[in-house]
Amino acid sequence: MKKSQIKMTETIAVLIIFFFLLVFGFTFYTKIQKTSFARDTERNADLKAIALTQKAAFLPELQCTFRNIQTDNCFDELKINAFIAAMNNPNTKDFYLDTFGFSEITLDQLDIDGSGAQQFSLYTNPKLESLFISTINVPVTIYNPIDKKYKFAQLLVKSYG
Amino acid sequence: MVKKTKRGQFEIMGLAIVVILMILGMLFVVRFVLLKPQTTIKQSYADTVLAANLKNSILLFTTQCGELRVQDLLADCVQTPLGQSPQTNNCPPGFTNSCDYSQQRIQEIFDATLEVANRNYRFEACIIKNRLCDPQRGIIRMASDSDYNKACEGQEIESKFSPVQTRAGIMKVTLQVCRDVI
Repeated sequence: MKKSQIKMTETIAVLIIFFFLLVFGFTFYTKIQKTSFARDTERNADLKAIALTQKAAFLPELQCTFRNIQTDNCFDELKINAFIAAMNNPNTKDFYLDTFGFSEITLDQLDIDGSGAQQFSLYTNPKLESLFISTINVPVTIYNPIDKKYKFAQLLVKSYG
Repeated sequence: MVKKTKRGQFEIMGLAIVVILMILGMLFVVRFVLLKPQTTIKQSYADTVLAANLKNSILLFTTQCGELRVQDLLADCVQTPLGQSPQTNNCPPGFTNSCDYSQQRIQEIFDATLEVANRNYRFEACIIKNRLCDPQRGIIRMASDSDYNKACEGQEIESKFSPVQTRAGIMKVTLQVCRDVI
């Protein structure tokens, strides 16, 4: 083998190794980027779910009030029923589209001490092709101002990402 | 010839060093980027809200025992011997004291929430004296484990408490929800 041929083979070998490392590095970088993107998307969906939960839990339309003072994490049963009735009107649902977007908000009254189980669907607008569904469950109370009784419930907020 | 072999050995050593550095870099990335604990924002929010709201909702819950709220029953339990005050006369048949009745209702709520979610917890209600539970008064302790002290062992604790004014002093109601350390 001539000296120049050896030199050429050496250069080709170096180039092969270089490109192999380059491709390997690029694949690795892409994989990491993909993972970070998926994680960021999930994180954003979680943050959106938290924001939605806060909005739903402190919605003045549903909150209990005593002498005009609002009580946190307490839902007035009469207001709930009025809200559900109002949501049958498409215009009302459109109004809340800006606030709740693609999500589902449900109040699940649990049957504790014979208070009776009941489910109130406050808002339903699911996204059919969503990447992530983030769910937050918050214990709350439902107050009936007529019989002055507090019942135990769970606010279920499902956010579609 | 000897010179050429030495040069070749140096080149291979250089390549080996590059490969080792790359492997180290990859291990570093895998350890700190890919295997980083999952986002805890939602988890920590959910746990804080869970502990605070669950405690508040339990205290406000209206029972069938004379339509008293759980916090009234707890107050009655910790300040009256055996929780047998006249207030409990209106409890459903078979229940003669506020301690048993309130604990059963609280357990019912825990079963429907924390037990379903497979979460460990500790609940305590007692009259406070010198920052500690007054042993002269009734103390209510409930936990996911039969041993109250072992319920949250080796776990992080999300703790929320409420002071409730009673005739005997201030009753401190504490709920601790445990979560696995990431």
